[in-house]
Amino acid sequence: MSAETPRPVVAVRMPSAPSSAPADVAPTNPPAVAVSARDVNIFYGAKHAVIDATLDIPARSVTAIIGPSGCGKSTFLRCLNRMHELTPGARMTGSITLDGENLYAPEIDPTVVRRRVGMIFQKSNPFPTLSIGDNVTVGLKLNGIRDRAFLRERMEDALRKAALWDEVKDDLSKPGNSLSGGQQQRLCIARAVAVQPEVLLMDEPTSALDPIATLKVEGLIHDLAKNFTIIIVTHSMQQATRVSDQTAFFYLGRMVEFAPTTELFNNPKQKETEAYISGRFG
Amino acid sequence: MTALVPAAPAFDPRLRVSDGVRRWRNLKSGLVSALCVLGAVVVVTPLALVFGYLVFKGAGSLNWDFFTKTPAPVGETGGGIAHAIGGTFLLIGMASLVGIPVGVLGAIYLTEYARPAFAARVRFAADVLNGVPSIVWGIVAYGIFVLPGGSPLSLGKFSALAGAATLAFIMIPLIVRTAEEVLLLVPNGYREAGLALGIAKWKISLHIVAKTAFRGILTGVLLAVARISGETAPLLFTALGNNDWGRGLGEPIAALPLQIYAYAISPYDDWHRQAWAAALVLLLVVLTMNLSLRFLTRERIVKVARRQLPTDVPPAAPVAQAHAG
Amino acid sequence: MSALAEPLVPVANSVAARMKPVSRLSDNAFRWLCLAMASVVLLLIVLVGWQLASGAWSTLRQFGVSFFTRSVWDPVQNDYGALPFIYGTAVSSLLALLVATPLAVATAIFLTEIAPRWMRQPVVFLVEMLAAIPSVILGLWAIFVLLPLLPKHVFPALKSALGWIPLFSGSTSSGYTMLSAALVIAVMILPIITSVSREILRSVPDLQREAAYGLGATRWEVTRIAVLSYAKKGIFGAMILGLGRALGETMAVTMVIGNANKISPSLFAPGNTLASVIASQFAEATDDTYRNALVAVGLVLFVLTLLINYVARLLLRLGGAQTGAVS
Repeated sequence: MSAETPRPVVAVRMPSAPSSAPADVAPTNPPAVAVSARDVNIFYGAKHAVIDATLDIPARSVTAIIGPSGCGKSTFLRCLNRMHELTPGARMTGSITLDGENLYAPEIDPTVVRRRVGMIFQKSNPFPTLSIGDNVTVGLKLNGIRDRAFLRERMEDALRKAALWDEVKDDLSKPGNSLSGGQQQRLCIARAVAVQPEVLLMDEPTSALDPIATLKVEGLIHDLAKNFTIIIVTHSMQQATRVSDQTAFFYLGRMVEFAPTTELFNNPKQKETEAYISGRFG
Repeated sequence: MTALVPAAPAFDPRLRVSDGVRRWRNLKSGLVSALCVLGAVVVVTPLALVFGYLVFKGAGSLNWDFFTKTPAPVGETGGGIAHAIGGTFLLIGMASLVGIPVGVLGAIYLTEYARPAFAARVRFAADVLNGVPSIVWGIVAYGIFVLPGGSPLSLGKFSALAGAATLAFIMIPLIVRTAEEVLLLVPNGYREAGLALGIAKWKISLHIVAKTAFRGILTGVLLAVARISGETAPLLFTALGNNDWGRGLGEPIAALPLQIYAYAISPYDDWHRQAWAAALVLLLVVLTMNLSLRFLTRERIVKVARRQLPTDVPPAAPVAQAHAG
Repeated sequence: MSALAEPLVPVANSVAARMKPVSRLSDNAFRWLCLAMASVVLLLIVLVGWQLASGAWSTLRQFGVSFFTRSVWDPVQNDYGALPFIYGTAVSSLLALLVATPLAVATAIFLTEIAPRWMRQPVVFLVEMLAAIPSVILGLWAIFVLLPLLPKHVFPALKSALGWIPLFSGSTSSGYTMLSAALVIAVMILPIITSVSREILRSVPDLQREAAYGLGATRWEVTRIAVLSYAKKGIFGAMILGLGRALGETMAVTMVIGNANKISPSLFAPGNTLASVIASQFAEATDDTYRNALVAVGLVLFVLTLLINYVARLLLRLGGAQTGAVS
């Protein structure tokens, strides 16, 4: 996967196999850790959705989270920008830090967290009342930025990053939902990129797209990783191998294994991981 | 079919329907259809009759004086109803100024912020209020705004303010319910997308959620305005009516429906003539509002909104289709 | 490490530096504002309840149950019994329902089963426009068009046909009668019963109709067996909804009912309803006892409407659930 664009080898904390991993891939230059989760437990009412998840996600790389449905992977993703708090009865313990800052510190407003940690959803959701251009800049405008030249510049930059500029540059005033499904999803990516977050969370971003649109978005994810830390939840193991640098496997609410993607798929350390990737369940 | 069934049963002659029976059944069906057509004709006839009579009896009296002058002294012919037209628009304007923001913001609270139990309580209260006969609103508002010492808000006399407040009371629960229904049609994905951009929740509620539901909210608002424009009973004991321009908002004020009522039950032919003309004007105002609604919005939203008018009729099936734009 | 730690964009040009800081204040202010507005609805229901109850209290304490059972209404002696108005409301509303329901259901059947597609929307539109006519305008029309006609052509015919029933006995000289009021109410409630019935009929799954047609049924048989039997509960709910509106119908009724504070056996005699007695007398009720008696009438009207609307909602929910469950 990383053959054509070599990335710094990553050191990852693997709670399930702490002794073996560092020796295998001993880094000479450890990369910055962007997001660090410690003993994260998430409850929905009485349901214990995520149990003791601990992992360090390296900056400017793609981290995939896989696992059978209901394993808590989406829940874990949503607590990285505190979106799970929208669900009534949701509770979280443990700590999550971004660049060493506690996202759950009492003085931190979730809105601030979400400015730094953007999110792409399963179903593309461009705002129907806004034009394509306004969809991209809405996050800036509603956060108080008025400078037209700056907005214009950010819009073009975000659309270019989302590989959409050439397709829509003449239709910027058309409604956002006039685009095709794949274009809409890339518009949503541009919208998230425009506010310059540090981390982009993607919750099964291609599950509603056809194969060609999926390939386009996957290529895009690859490029975006130069500028952003990307965490993607996917139900497709093929997608995880195609786009990610490291992969975490969740099962029954627990983070079972976390390793560089090639390693996790070629040489899983845990029985459950092996069973899952060989298709025995899920 | 027959290929799959081993032995096709022989036709039982007892099942044969005689020509006479079949003819009678068809005749009966035709008769009932004709009755249904007749029923439909009878139902739309009053509309045609009322509209026809208003035009026939009222159109001739519509002239410059009618729209610009106040009534002539009793016994003299001529004069107009400028004061009533002005009064009606003033009352509607003041009521809307209060009723629309209260109703829309209240609905936003219900869909964006409220806990389910609180929302259910407000919804129930609004449904009850939407069923209150307008004459009952009249006595309630009299007790609050007009009866001397009736409440701290009482002016102790009939007034334009009391009339406008009564109309606002009628509007608020109507708008709350219609706006709430259309706000609920906005898919949650838009709210989440907004939050994920780090936009403040109140801005999402106004600039994204309410804007997406704008046409639906506008429909509900216009229906509420159309409804209060024709209301007479709640104004009888609040705005009271006036035969001239009022001297201020603390004084009784004229309104088209009140003027029509007063003229209709009066003994003077010239006032009857003016009642027809005033009714024609009022009907045109109300119908214009209703017509503009149809061009403004898609049928589905109009239906959601209109359902609130009589009293709450729950939708037969849960609302599934999202309204986008 | 060092390369990665470099900022992506020059700080001065970064989005974060230009964004307004997050303010919980405006978010909370907006939330409280909206809460206050939503609470207005709760406040209104308290106001309505309190105004009616506090006004009616002294009347009900003074006259007790007899307020509902006596037919004396004497403002001069300050002696009040609301029975004539309860009777008037009941008779005029039920009569209106009797007239309006068959017409409304026929129209609903016409709109869902019989009319060609192109015709349906225009007719629905006309029915909606009928609903938009203000009550006072219908009253005006009734006074000058309907009332002169009825005693001349309609009432005598009714009397000669049905005169053996006390309801259709007595003098037929005046147009200001209970029967006129009932007819006016019927026109007012036609649109609501029609449109709700139409919704109910439309919610009957097409599969039902196709099954009946498949058995060789005629159009009427399909309507009767597959559609009406299915929609019975819902149509009954529509009727009750119409009744709820009939009770509160005020202006047109006040203008044609003749405003008599007594019970007459004949429908050709004037009467009064709960709503119309308030409309015609409240403004002149300067005496506290008189006014409170009228507020008590308003309370009766309010409670009746509340009950009827509740029943209607219940029926429509049941009817809706029944038709929705199969589809």
